[in-house]
Amino acid sequence: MPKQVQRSVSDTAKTDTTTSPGSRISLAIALAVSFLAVSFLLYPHVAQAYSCNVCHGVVIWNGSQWGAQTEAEVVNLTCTPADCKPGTNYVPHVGNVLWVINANDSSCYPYDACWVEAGYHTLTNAQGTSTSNVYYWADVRPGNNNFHVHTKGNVQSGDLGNDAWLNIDEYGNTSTWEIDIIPATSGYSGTSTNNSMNPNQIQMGMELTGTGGESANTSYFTYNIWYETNNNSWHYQENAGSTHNDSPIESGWYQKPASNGSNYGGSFYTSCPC
Amino acid sequence: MNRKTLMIVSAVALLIAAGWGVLALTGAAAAKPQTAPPPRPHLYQGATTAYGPGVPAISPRTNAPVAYTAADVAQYIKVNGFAGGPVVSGHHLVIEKILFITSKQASLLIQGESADRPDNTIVCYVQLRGPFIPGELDVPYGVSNPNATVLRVYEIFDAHTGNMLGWGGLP
Repeated sequence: MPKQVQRSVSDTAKTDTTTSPGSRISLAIALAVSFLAVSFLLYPHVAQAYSCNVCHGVVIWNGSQWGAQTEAEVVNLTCTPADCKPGTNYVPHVGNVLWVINANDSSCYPYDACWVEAGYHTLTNAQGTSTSNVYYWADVRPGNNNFHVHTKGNVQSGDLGNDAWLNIDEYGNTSTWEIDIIPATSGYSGTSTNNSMNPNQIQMGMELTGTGGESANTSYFTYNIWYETNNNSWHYQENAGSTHNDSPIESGWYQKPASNGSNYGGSFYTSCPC
Repeated sequence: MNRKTLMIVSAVALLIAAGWGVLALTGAAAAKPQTAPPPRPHLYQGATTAYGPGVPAISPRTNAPVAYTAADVAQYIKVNGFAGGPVVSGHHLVIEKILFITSKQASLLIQGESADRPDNTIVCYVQLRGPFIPGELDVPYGVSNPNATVLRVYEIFDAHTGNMLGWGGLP
């Protein structure tokens, strides 16, 4: 029986070129490449797997100052409601934010930091049935759980693709901070009072929490400015600071700040092709 | 399948592979901007307001300055929980206070923070006990305890529109 099978294969080889060694290799290559091609076609439709307890894509500047400002392009932030329903131990969301921070301050419990922040982020309802993009500002002041979030209003369709001017600065040395959020179709302000923090750090960029269903188009942060202490004069950022990026966020300098401020503090980008 | 056909199939397959390689490489860098953003002037020329509309929350029943009841608030909290994040597993949300008070009075209850309405305007102040995980707060990179819990929190609603104006922690 084995001999008969051998003869049969041999006979077939004479009449069908697909079973010659060269042909088999060609067929194998064709199949492998086809598999790769199919994989590629499917790739864009498969969401990345990620696990973000708290992820950041930010630029960080250290140094004493009395505030900062930027123009953050408003883009649509997606947080699929079913995926972003508040969980049992975290709240999925994504946002583009400017922070003015007093880092390493033990008087600010429990974060060991006080700060004022402004920007826009996603807000998903408890049922996981709807998500909106919301402008907000917040502060964490010295004290115990002294944090407050101010929801100013929903992002409007006319804001998308335009800048929102984000400004955080102190009225002299008065422990009173002015916050401005001015997108294309509205203008919000706020005041953080009794806030004696002494900021020593600026951050701006993206914060993301979640494990899926989130995405964000590329947003540019331009016209990046910091306020000098004591006299409140302002300066364009003139160095690139340091950056930190957690996947799946993609962030970095498109154009680093020029040392003479000639490019208005550079252009930092964030996105999440999550 | 003859040899000529196989050669064609292989060539096409190799072309697809080459295209895939190029697209994969460009796709990996797609998020990085390729052109400098042009300067954009501010579009909004109106006055700014410290009293934004907030975001829709409680449905008002009337057009009165106080357009819903404490029972409506309790029902809203029962369904939606705390806006800042969930109750720690194993605990239950407790509504400690529902007060229709002036914005100034509400400010005094939240350590002097603004209640985002003129001093004499009525707002709805709600105090909750958890503990909670205030995960909706956008913490900056590098701070301690980014997932810290907080025992007591509050929410403030516009008494007329029912919109949420803010939320936060209490000592």
